[in-house]
Amino acid sequence: MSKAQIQQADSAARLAGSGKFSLKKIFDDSAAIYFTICALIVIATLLLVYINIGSQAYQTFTQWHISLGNLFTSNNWDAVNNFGLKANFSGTIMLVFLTVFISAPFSVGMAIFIAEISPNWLQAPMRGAVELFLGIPSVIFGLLGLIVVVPFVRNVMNSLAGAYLYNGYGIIAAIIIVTFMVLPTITTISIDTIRAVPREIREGSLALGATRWQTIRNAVLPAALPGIMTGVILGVTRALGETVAVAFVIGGAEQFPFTVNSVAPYIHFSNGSDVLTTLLLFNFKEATNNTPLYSVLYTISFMLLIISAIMIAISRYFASRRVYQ
Amino acid sequence: MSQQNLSNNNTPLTTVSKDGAIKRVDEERLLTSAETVTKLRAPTAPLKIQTNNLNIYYGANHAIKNVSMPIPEKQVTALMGPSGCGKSTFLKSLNRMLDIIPDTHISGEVLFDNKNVYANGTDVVELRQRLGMVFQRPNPFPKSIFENVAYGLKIMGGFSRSEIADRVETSLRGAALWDEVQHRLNQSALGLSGGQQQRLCIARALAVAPEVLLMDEPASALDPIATLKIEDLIHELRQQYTIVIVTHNLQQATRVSQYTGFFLTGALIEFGPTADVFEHSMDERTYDFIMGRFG
Repeated sequence: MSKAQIQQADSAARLAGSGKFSLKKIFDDSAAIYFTICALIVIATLLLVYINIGSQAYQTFTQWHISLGNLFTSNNWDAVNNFGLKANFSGTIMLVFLTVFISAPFSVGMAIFIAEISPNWLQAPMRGAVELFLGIPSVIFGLLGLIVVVPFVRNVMNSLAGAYLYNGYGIIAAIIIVTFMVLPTITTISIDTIRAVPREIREGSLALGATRWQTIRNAVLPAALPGIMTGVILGVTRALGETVAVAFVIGGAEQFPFTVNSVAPYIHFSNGSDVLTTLLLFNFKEATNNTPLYSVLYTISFMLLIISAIMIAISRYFASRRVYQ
Repeated sequence: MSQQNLSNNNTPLTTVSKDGAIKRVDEERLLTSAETVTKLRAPTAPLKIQTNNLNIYYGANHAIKNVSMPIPEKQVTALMGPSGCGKSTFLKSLNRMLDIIPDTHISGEVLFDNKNVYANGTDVVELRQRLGMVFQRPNPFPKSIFENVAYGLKIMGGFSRSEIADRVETSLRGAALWDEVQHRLNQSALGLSGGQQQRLCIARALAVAPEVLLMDEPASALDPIATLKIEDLIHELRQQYTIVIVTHNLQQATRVSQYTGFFLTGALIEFGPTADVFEHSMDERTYDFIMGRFG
């Protein structure tokens, strides 16, 4: 049979099959419909979330005539007439940056140990331990924060100050707690990305006379950097969105995380401050529909949505720069 | 072909049936019959490397069996043999790249300039700089072309920026890559073609001024034109460097090498000048391999 003949026979068979009632075809079609519905539900939910929260947030500016400037430059929050978010916003920024700044080096160090240095038999249990860490519910972190970290911060700061000035609640306790929560996120992704660097890269470096540490520093880490950055950005997202654990230790006071003045030790941490997420948590149950507070809380939600969307975009960018998958 | 040697063997490895078809060699028998006595035609050139009774074990697996092989200076020595015969393992033992593989045991000696590289107190870092290595798959670092070549120098330290730039240029010229990349030294090495990447890896090895280049099937991942360029380059490099090249490709062995060692199941079966090994095999198994009856 020639090639053309075979093709002809093929398409004839297909035509004959397509008209027939077949169970296989029904399964095939219904599976396609099911998967399409799943995809549509996800997309529709996402759209609804953005539209719902966005439209409610929009009323802040149209119905209550509060400007973005008002929200960000004012420090005055009374939940009725004044909605200055400056303190909370500073709290969030401070929490996110310090948390990631502290945890990223530890995480990458841990990932290097697990992926590069530890013996083979230790790698799987170490990784399992990190993943277990990742799975701890945030309320547990909150409780531990309340029971362990707050008293610890209180004791250390008061003994440093030489007087009983601090109750232990506030941004420092929150940073300590969230650092531990972000650690496994960055670590697991860093382990994966370091492992994904091909053996040939390490061999190439060693064959040029590099030591193991030089190889890690000059060949493995640069190759893994985009992946590590993806992990760091996901860590940022986690720190940004963390609410429950922070709520246990932050103190919930609408003031700056710290004040600076000319009295030693110049930086004075506040007894209790707030971040955007905990502000939402503490205020939402008291907010009634059709009040400025209600709209402002939606505005905060929308800001969190937008910031996390930006973070996801950045992490996608780094993911696309990954050389070794 | 040396008929004497062939007839010495009691049972032939290949049989020719009446219609002239050659039956495949029974590989099982080959596995058990691999002797550890090498049929050697000693090279006339001075030696750069000599292994003596080298045995390598991966755990319980006896990967290299009692290999004693001379490697002459400023010549190209090809290591050929079927897959899994240990030729890559042998190559990696020369600059101690096996050190990084756990559960590897080595006995015997590798004399490099008459010093055993496995002796206590060998500076492995210096050793690997003197014996550069090029791998099967091009493995440039995900850095710029310049940074790739400068890598070894920066690891060594003690070079000024202009010295590094000079060495990068000489190395790239030495690897016949300079003309193609001189205007894009700061672009990523991963943007180069496979053949260019492999020449970059050669340049990277040349930058640290090695005496020996160990090449592990350097052209196996490349197209025929890129392969030819690598082979031309090997001819050039022979003027200055001792080259050991593992190859799967028999024609490549005849094209690039002056000496050939034939490995089978971890043993060095035959070693000698390439032309002699190919045209007057002293061992029947070498002859069969060259004739394409197995491997």
